[in-house]
Amino acid sequence: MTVLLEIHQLVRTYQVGGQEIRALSGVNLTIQRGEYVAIMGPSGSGKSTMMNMIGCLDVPSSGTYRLDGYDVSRLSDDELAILRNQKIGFVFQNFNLLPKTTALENVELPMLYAGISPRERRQRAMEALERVGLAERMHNRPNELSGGQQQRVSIARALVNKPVLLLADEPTGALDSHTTEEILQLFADLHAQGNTIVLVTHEPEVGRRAKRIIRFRDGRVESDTANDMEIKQPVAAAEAIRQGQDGGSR
Amino acid sequence: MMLEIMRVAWRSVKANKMRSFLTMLGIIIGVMAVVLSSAIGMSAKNGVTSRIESLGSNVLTIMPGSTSVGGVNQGYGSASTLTISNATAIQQDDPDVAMTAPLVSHSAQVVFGANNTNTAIEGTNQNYPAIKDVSMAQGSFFTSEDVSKAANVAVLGSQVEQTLFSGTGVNPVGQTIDIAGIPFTVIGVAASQGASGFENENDAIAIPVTTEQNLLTGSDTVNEILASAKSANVMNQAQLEIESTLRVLHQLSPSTADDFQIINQATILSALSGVTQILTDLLDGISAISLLVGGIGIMNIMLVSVTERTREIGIRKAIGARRSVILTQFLLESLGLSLSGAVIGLLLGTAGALTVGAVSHTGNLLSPGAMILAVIFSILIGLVFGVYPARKAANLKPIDALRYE
Ligand SMILES: Nc1ncnc2c1ncn2[C@@H]1O[C@H](COP(=O)(O)OP(=O)(O)OP(=O)(O)O)[C@@H](O)[C@H]1O
Ligand SMILES: [Mg+2]
Repeated sequence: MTVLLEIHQLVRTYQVGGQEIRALSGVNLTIQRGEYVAIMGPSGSGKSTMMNMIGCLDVPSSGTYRLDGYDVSRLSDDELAILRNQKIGFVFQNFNLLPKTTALENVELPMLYAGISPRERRQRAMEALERVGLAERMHNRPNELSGGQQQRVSIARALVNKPVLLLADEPTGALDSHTTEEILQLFADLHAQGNTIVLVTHEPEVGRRAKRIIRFRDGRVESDTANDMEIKQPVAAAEAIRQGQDGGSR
Repeated sequence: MMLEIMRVAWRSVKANKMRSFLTMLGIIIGVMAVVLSSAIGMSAKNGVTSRIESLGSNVLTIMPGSTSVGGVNQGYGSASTLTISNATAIQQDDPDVAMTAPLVSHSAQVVFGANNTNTAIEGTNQNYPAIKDVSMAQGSFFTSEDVSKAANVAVLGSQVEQTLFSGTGVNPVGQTIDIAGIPFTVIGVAASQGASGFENENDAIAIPVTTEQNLLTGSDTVNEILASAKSANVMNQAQLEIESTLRVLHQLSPSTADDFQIINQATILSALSGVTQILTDLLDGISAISLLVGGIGIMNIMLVSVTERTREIGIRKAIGARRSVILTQFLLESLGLSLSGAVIGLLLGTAGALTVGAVSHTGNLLSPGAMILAVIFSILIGLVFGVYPARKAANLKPIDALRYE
């Protein structure tokens, strides 16, 4: 296993009306390639802020964040855009597909910004849609698709540039239990194929599917546990894994 | 990639058809006004030019000077300083003058059979048709012999001919008409002329100046003298020669002003064309303002568009669109608006210019220069007024844009 991302003493503060809000106050976190991580915790604990950091949508107020060898806090806006384009696939709670644009074109978009030729774009977008089981709906626009289908389109879009990291902030938050199960199955398959997945969720049954659960509280990591069914004492196991990781990354 | 961005921009213009059209309106009107104003300017210029040409570009009109009655200036033409012999002298002495024709004008009652009319009787000489470029519809103009013999012959203007002879079925040439009770033989009818100069020559009868003098006025003075220069190039020399000849003949001391005035009609018309120039300048100003207002309209709508599409911008940035991509997309969109407006304006303006040209018979009034200028100006407007909204879009932070409701 190799380290994919490393977060050290990360702080993110917001200024609201002259008052300083610490959304994240000193987070340390290391994630290996191929992990399937669920971030959980109460509302307002900083989960989304953390995801924005990991996804290079936002930069830390202090602390360091290294993603796949890049020191994110030192990059310019355009370099961050390139990094997001090349390394990260986003899946949002509200799908965030472009309206008035077909599923196929939505999936092509990341490749457009990567400068890939139209032919290859089309080819790969079709493959990605096939992979999420939406080959026959690729010429439909988002408003012609169900929520679950839209989420699958956005997963296809997230995967199409072969990112090293798949980020999903409450990907099943807007879906019913049946559709949630479909999406989770898709994530499980992707994880089995070696993709690194980090997702945020409120739902215990969603978090249970991940292999590692990180709990946030008040902008800090409260607990970090391996979710291995065979291990009866998850905290101890997580502790062991974390120790191992720390050893590997330092 | 550029092509894709262009498609995205164009799609957004098309998505809000009505709004896009209203936004373009300023540019449409502006470009239309540019094309039309240059057409109207050209139409006026062509009109003036063809009038100058119809006048005969080398004709000078000499009018008597003014007299004062009780200290009140009576205006040019009120003095009786010009004579037939002045006209003869100018023709003989001034090397740059080709020929002259004196002109005495009175109105009189004219009768033929049961028809009668009151019209201007112009006493002149045989040079008149050449100077004024009058051609004959029937018969011929009188000759120098008619003038020297003071023959009772008359040449009718086309309108007079209509009044006196329509319905009678007789050929006017050879008929005898009464002018102020004196019988005259009609020897010709002039072809109808456009209203060039200041009188309507169609409603007039020309007779030998000598005859008019003998029978009607009894004096040697004339109302004006027409002189033609040898060519249009020597107009100014001819004018100076006439002035000095007349000053000598009228025995004016160097300190006294001319008691006559020489009018170069081409000069008057070119002054007129100066006025039309002011008009087109005004129209150009209006079009420039309209284009500017159109630009502001585009900026306004682009700002609205950026706000409306904040989320879209956020999505694009999140999946890797760089600043330049967003910037180009919105710039192309405002450019698409201004260019579409320019094209529509160009089409409408062209239709308008063709209509003006057809109605005023002034030919093809399309000016490629004005069209190109209008389009270039529109492109510039699209760019200049698109930069601010586009920069605003490009500078949005991805998380802020994604979070925007
Ligand atoms: N743009 C912002 N400006 C000011 N404060 C913010 C901003 N974004 C987040 N916060 C604050 O930071 C804290 C963490 O917010 P965050 O959205 O990360 O919580 P969360 O764990 O994702 O909550 P939830 O489960 O409700 O989505 C909250 O107190 C929030 O009010
Ligand atoms: Mg959240």
